[in-house]
Amino acid sequence: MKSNIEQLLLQVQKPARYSGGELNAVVKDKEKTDIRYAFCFPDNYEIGMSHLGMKILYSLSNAREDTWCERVFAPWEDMEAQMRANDIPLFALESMDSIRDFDLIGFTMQYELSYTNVLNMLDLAGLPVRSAERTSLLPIVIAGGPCVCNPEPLADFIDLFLPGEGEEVTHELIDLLKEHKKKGSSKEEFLCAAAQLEGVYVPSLYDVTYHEDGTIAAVTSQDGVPAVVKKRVIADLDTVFYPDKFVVPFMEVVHDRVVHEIFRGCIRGCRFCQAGFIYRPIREKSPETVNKQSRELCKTTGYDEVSLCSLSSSDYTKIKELLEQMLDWTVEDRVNIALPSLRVDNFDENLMQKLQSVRRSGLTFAPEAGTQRLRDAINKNVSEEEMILTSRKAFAGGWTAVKLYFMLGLPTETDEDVTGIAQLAQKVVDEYYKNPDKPKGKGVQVSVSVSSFVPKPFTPFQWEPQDTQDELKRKQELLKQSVTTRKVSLSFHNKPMSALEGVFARGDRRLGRVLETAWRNGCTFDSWDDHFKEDVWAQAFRTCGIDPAFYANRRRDHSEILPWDHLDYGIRKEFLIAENQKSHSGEVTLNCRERCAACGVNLLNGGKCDAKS
Amino acid sequence: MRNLRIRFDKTGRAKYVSHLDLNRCMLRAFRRSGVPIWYTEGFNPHPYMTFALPLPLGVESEQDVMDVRIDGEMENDEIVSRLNAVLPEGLRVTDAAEPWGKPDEIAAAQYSFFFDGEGFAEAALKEILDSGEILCEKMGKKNGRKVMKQMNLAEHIRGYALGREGDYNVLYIKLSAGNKVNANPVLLSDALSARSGGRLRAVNIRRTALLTENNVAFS
Repeated sequence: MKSNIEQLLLQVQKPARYSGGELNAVVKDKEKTDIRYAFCFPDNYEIGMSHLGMKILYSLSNAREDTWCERVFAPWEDMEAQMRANDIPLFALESMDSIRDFDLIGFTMQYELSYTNVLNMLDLAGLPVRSAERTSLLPIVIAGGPCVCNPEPLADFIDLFLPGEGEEVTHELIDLLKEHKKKGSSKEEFLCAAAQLEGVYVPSLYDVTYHEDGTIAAVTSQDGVPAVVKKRVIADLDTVFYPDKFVVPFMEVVHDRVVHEIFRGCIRGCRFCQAGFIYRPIREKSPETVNKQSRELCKTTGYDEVSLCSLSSSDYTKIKELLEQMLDWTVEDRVNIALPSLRVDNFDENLMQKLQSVRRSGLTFAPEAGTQRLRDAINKNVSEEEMILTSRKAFAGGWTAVKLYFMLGLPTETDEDVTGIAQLAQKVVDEYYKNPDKPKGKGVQVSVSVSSFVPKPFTPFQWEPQDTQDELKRKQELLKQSVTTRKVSLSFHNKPMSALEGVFARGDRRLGRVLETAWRNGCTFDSWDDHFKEDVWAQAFRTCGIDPAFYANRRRDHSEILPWDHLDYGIRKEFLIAENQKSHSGEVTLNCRERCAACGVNLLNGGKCDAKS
Repeated sequence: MRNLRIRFDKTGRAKYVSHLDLNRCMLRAFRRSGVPIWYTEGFNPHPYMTFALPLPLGVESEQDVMDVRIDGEMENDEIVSRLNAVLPEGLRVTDAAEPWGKPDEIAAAQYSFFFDGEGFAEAALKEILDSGEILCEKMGKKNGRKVMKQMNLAEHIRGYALGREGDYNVLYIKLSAGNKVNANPVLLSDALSARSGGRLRAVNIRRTALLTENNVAFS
């Protein structure tokens, strides 16, 4: 370990964030690799080490003999101060080498409020934050992840984006970079060649012009560059690369267990949910593959818990087969199976009894809206009857606590919908007292957690105005007054941050200046309550002469050119418009398994979608 | 079921693994190794594992001691080699044997403090160590509440010597340790640095032995 870094570690909190050396971390001989790849998560170690995508791409890149991929996280403020004071550039955890000398620097963009950390990490590495000021071929700075479905606010800083799934395009990109590094190409030569790969978006090769009212007039690609970039999709999850090892952190991280995805995509089509649209089409992994790979991962990590993850676990068609296969060895090996996002209603009770972790976790519903009318408008197909029935069963089984998740600020929301949240919670409380066998002397606790809605690209709500902070505050007050019992506890997750999230989610290139200004004035870790600097952001918008309301609170016309229209996520715009109109007329859309809604994404995958039986 | 005492070294990057994290890390290593560790038979079965004397964060150790319970047949040599095959960088098991004595017999520990050649002043170091008063503050308890307490580390120095290893000047020092009085070597290191205006700043500290009152190595 490098002694100058080592001397800092005892001066900071949680040095294990920076010391590396974890089990299964990959160390290679740098003289024998052609490409050094810094995979960066723009948040702290505990968050980043919980992220599945990073584990997949880390292992996949390191499976190549010619590439050494290392992990990099955003240093916490105490470490950053030490690094800046002692001239220690941002380093990768495996080699402790400065990432400035790497060939490829990749960021995974999981949430908009991590954007300032990207700039800060580039700066800590000793690199200019702006793409145009990094003139040499290496390092190339790339970004992927859900946020790059609208990469425009980051267009000034990132050399190229990888919309969609990364397992195949990562290989293609590394091959190309290796070739150009050997040839001694210029950065421009490499970027022009990269733009020819499917699923690669090079923002500097696209020009954006604006109307006088600030809306986009046109996005024009330069000669020979595709006008529209299609996201990449993996055709078969059974044959695609999945790691047989995870790096096992010493310190406790947020998700400290084996994680296994059982399918990608979601059949539900909730209109507010970006994940439900951008991860389509539905592709299931076979129970045999999941079982085999999970067992192997438990062996190589020593973890005693496997989490089967997806956007809605009970929609996995082979859940029963999978659990039966897994229980064959998990019981004996003392491994717990966790099934988040599970719908309790239609689940085999015998099987559930065997799942310790399922039995112990709390009972949670996400009705998202307080009235059936609004639930129909957002296409959240949870009915009040179902919820009450499940609560009744759960209370009869001895449960005394229920969690309910809602959002405020959904499109078409009225005050009646807001007070409806309190009424729904009250009905769950009433159901508890109807139970003749309820435990003596024990009350019920219904926790209502309320966040605020942020409209996102590639959803039917991408044209909708976001509620202003004032309006959200009014609705919160109204809801607070509507709750009349202590059995219901309210908690709000409406931070002024959600306003900023809304601006960047649907922003365009002109926001790059705001981002840079805010970061230069000290904004980092914006998703952390104690770091978010509302006033500095407000000042940055003013300095740049940009009105955040233009991006967040304005209703956009269906005909307006949206900043992400030149990216193709496979979802037909006509479908999204139809869904938007249906939400205003309160019409629901059946889930994909009941009837295909013809969103169009299957065309990205040779017409295949596992939602069709 | 049988008790087993495992001795191990924790060096290099592994010194940044905290005590709680070490516990978790060792449990996972047992799970990977296939060594049949014994689980308690309760509502919530868990393995039995205990460390003789927790180590402060950032300090290396040699011949550290942990006790576990093993269920089923496996030779001690095989347990050692299986664990070493799955332990991360910096952690290495040196041997496994039937335990004697209990961790509360530990009364002292032997440490090596490594100093850079640059700026090292032997006379100044001796003067501080022999001064009879090296005050530090540590978190203690008074009537069940957490309070800062003052401790005179000089009272807990049980002998020292100076030497050289490679490029480093080394202070070999024996300090009171155990569950009654435990003199933290990091606090001593901080005090030395403060008293010397930063000249006597140890770049590394290593605990090399746990000792009983009779100066027998606890292992």
